Amino acid sequence: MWLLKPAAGLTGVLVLLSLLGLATCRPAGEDTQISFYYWKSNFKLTDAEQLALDTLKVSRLYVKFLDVDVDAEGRAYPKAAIRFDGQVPDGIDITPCVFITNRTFQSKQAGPVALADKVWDFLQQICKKQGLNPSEYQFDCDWTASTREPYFTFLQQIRKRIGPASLSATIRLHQYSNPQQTGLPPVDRGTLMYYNMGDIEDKAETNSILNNEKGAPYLQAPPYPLKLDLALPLFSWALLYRLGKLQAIINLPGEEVLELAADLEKIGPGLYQVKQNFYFEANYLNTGDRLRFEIPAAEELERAADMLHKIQNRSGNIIFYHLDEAALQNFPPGFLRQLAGHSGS
Amino acid sequence: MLATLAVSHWPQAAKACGPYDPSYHFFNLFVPEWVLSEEYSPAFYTSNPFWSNIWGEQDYSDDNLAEWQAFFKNEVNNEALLRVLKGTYSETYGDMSRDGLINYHLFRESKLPAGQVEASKRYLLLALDIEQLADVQRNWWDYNPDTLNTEQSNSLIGRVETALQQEKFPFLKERYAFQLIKSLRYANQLQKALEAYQTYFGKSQSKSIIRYWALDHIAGIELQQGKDGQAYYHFLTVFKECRSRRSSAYYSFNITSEADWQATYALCQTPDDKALMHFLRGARDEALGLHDMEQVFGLLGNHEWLRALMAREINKLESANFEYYSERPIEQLLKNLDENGTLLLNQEQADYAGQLLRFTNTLYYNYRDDPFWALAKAYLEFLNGQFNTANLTLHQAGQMTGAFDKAKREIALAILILKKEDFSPEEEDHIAREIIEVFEDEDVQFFTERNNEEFILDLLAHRARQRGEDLLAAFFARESIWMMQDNPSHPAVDALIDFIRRPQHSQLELLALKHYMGGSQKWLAFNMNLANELKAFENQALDIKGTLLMRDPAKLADALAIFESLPPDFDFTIDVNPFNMSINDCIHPEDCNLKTSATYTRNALVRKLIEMKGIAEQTNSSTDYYLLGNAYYNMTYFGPAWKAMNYFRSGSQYAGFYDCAQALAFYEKAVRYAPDRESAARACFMAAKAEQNLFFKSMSEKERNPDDYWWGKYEIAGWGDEQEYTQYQQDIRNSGYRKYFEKLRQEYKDTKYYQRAVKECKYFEYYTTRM
Repeated sequence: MWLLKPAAGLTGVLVLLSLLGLATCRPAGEDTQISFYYWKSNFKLTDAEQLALDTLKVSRLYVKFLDVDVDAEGRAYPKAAIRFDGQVPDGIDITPCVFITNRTFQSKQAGPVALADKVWDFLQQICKKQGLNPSEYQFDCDWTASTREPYFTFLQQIRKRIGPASLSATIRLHQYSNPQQTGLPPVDRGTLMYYNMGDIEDKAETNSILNNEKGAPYLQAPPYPLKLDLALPLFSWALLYRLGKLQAIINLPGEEVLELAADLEKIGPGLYQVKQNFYFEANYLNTGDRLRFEIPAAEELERAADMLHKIQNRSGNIIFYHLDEAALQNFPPGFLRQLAGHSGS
Repeated sequence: MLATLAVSHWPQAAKACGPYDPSYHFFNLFVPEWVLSEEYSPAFYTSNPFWSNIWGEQDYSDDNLAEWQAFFKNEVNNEALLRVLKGTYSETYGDMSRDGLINYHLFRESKLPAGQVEASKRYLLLALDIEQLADVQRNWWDYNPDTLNTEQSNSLIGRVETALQQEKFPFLKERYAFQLIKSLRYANQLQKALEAYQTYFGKSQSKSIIRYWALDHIAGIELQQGKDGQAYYHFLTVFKECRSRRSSAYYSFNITSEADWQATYALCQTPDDKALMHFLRGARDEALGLHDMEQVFGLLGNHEWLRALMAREINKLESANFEYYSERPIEQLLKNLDENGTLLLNQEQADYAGQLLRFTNTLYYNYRDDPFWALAKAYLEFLNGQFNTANLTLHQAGQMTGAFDKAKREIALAILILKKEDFSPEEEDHIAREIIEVFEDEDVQFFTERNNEEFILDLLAHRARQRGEDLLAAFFARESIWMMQDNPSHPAVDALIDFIRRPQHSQLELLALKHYMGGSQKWLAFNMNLANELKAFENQALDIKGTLLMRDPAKLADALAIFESLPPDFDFTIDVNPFNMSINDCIHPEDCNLKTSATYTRNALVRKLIEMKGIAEQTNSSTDYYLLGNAYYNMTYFGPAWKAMNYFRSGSQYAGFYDCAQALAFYEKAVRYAPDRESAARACFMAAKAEQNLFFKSMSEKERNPDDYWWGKYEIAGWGDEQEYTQYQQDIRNSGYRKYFEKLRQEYKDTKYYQRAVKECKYFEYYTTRM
């Protein structure tokens, strides 16, 4: 049974109404194509994840196939390549995604043309092994003005290789609001990432995953010259601060585990302090460390969806980041359909 | 053997640390390499993830080589054996195949018994085959690891089992056993691998490295099977007993739960084992080390592991606060001091430093004869802003030697400079002496790679700036005379001359001045010959002054007066005639055969310029104005006689004297007073050249884009791009720098010189045909 946890911040009534698809006067997302990112390095869907796909009639998954980074000598190399321990469900199109660090394009060693060859070949090895014939490829890079030229060259090279498939790229808010400076990637479509907008390094930040006060000004920008899918966050985490600086990010589906830890003292909403050294979620925490739990609140997600609904040139597609059984516990399908209705066409 | 191939351990490596980090990014006064054994270098702190894998290089892989050579009684070629064992490139054998080396080279000169040679060859060749079993991606960009199928694996394992049964040499037999365990693990026959270990090593008292290499695999298997406590205990054992597998054992000893920690702890036989567990955990980047230090102390008392952990914790604080790539590192430190009363960025760090200090005090008072704790105590007090207490600690520590003495004096020096904004003459002399001695800088190089010296110099530069002594601050900031030669100004040169001419200098001022001026004498000799050295510096500065004056034709007489006051060796020959003109500029005179029989010394040239200028002004001589224009063009960056007014010529950007305004002014007069149209056309063309260079000057100074270097955008080599070149030409014209090309076209089209210019000058040809 789907449960909306208190962290999501909706009342039981709203939950029920959402589940029934009756809570809104907007279209309930039926016209909007809902997709998910799958960002784990081992592809194996749980029953609950599969159920969510079925319930939401998801037909496309954006699956991270690999990361690309550079080594100490500046040579590009693949990291965290995906393994398929489970089958791709029938009726699901896989869009291979590649995350490339910005420093890869800062490196003189990693020429964009040669890199495109390597990445493309690597993707084809995976696709061939899994019998996939993707109709779309997506690239994710937080490029800047100084790296746009090699990144865009890279994308152009990829385009030459993908045949009839389409090419998409993630667009971060700073890129969305300032295409004059960061440029327009040579792709068919963009995916506007409406999350990770706060400063996670800042121990005084309230919610770095979704903060509409920070996100809204970016959306005032003139229409982006690319058709845009929209991506919204469904993840949560605890940020670990040590000696005043961010030390680690601990993926946590809910706050309960923090509340129950005997060696943690709650010092504020979502804030905890370590009383003595102990192991927590495979991390060794030290006395004095601080943890801040962050999750996008349901009402903030709704506000975000509302605002995104108003931007021009959106495709109507929404992609949730990311497909994970634990995260889905916080955001049941009815709520997600509701969000899709807010942000859809 | 060949187990030096990259064994893929489970779990994979986390972040680590290393002994040598060329990317040191912080002022590192507490240098662990100085005060700790190299053996513990893997635990030294580095915050750069790029260097987190360097422990592998400290893997003592030569231990395996040594065991083999002992078996071979040093009868085989070491280089060939190394290539066989490690597969690394060899100077002599290059990339020769390793099986070829084994069959034909390795034993060629050896006097080993034939039976041992054959047995060894059999083993080495089989071990090479087993490498194929490893789940290793030999090429990063291969998605599918290059491994054997089950049938091939089983065949190989069968060969190893047979060879193991038949082998007579205990040395090789033990290695076959290792190969069997490894092969079984890679073939995912885990239970068999565990049984093989029990059979061949379980009851053995052997301390051979190969036994621990096998145990390393066993530990990996145990982790895969969920026997975490046992696995971690075995990794601990490997770390302790086998330095050639210490690296991988360290990476694998990555306990992530209290249950695993307790299970491992329960297996520890001795306080040493338990303390080692704390050391390994405390040395991880993911932990603060204090708690584990306390445990190590409780178990073993004062111990090298404790010192290594403390050094890490101190280095962490340095890394967080002494970042020298930050915008204003010294200013930030002093801001911290003002705001927090410590050199640390925030209260959390200050609290932790306080906790470390309390722990250190315990060690210090219990082990007064260990200089490490005195140094750690003083340094933590220093970080905490307790400068007087730190000084007292250093004083009470008494005489130290070697690296400890060096570290002690560095800290004392930093404290002295941080405590005061101004120094007495005695203190300045002391600081100078310490810089020379502590940093072994007899040549006053102000080594930039020795970051501690940089730290002290940066502190001094900051103090000098605070006192308003900008020139001295520049000296400490490692600026040098060539910067002034490259870009001189009258106030800067005058300030330098005044500084040199001061009646008295402190030793610190002299030290800074010596570095700035680049004196070649060692410090002692420099001081003994001080008057002459200062005179030489003064002459150097005056030479710059004269050169600077020369740039203004109205001040040629002043320049000459200075040049004539200098020793004769300051004058030099200019081996091209600066009065000659050329249609196209020549960057390298030696390539253009510009040398002329008529040459000038610099002083003679200045005299000639004064003379010509006088004649030109008195008679309105177009020829003299034209020749003056040529000289003032040729003496700029753009001309072959650039040495007359420049000390350097950059190959990448306009630098030095590249202002053609004087030349243009002379050419304008040459046009105005020209006796005929040909002369006027010639002067007009040269005026256009000077005008174009003024455009370059303007662009390079005003419109330089860091992402798109101006000189790269407009360099002549870039003419291949028609669109860019057109834009370039339009830019020049639209900016108003084509007046003289236009004048030439409008007024002198009928001259022979016009025809020559169109033929020889591509710029002008483009202008006349396309614009």
